[in-house]
Amino acid sequence: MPFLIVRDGANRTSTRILFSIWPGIFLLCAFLFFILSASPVFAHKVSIFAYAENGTIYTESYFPDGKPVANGRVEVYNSEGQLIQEGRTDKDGNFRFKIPAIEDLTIVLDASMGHRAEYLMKSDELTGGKTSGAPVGQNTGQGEKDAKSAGLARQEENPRLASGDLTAEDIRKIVKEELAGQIEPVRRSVMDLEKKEKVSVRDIFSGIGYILGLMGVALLVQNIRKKNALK
Amino acid sequence: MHISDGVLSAKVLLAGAAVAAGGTAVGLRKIDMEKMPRVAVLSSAFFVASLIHVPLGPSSVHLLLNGITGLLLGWASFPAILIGLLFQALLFQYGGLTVLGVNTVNMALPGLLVFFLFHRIVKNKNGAASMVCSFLSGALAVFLSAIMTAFTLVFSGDEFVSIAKLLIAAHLPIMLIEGVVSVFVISLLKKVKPEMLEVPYALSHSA
Repeated sequence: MPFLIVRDGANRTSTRILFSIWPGIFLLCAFLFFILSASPVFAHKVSIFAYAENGTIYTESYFPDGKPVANGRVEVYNSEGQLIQEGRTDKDGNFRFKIPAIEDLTIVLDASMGHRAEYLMKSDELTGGKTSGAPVGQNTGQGEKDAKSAGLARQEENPRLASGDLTAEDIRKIVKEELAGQIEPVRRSVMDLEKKEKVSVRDIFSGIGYILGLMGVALLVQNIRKKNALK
Repeated sequence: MHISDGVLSAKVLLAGAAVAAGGTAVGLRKIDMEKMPRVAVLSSAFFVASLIHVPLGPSSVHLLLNGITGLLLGWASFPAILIGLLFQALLFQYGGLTVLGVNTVNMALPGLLVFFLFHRIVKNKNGAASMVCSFLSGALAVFLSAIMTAFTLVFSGDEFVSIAKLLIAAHLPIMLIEGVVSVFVISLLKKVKPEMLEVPYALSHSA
């Protein structure tokens, strides 16, 4: 009996396949319609973004539809992987803390139920946040050396007299501060763009395409096997 | 319900991958040429269903469709769900590649259980019994997936009862919706294409 079924199947496989696939395709189309007509398409993940300003690191946590992650756990790890700071997001998904150390920090958001996201904060992003600390002092020291080697006289009582009075380091500092201010809106809009990253229709169709392609490959392999078995 | 990369320990990941590989191997041997398109289409449906987001509750929950996948595919739901999850991870950044095994087990095993529990009744009985069992297939699979996900998360330090409550509460609407969707799909298939419910190969066509 099973033998008969197999023979029958071999003769009419292609037509049967064609028939057995229609309800499935109907279902799929129904789903696609559902999704495309429904409001925005959501992904199922969380995101965290962070930036440094005035010695404080600000973090913002979102679901992909832009809803904030309220009361999510935020953990901060230093470059050696040690936990150095932790806390919870407020109802707007924000959490901020003083810059704990100038080094690469990994900021981890744990939104429970297995949702997790990471943000790597490079140490140079932190120094852009204008910390008044050791690094700046060091720079000034170096600037003094530069100034001496350039043979410029320093007039500390009246630093605004002429442009020649500014050391290279002073200029660098001013430019850096100006740039940080100018770049901030750009950084914000890049962050906004990343937030809006949603599942596109292209992704949906390419996924379905891949799955059907895999089916084709699998059918091909089975077909070859069957032919070899008949020989 | 997808667990992200980096949440679970290596031991859990390996165990999940091993079980998923076993289930997928069995499933692949149960698929013959005639069943292949059905597996692919249900895999696509599973892949797409996760985008149907239900805006209830504080977190983001979406349809799973693992009940109906299990009911129509039996063992073959393992490869179907594995492929669906793979492309969800690659294209939508749901879950992740290292947790693929664990997520597959959490979704496919309840589907398989539902298949063994309800398939015969859904196929053979008509009217109320079939409808009730269809509803239960959809709802129970989601419920069991929530329990299994909670159980998996226990190994990463979450407390079982609280996380399970949270997951089940978040998925209550999904359970209802999937139950209703299952009833509609099964009764439609029974009218239009009853052969879809004949899954003899999953039981008798063993390799």
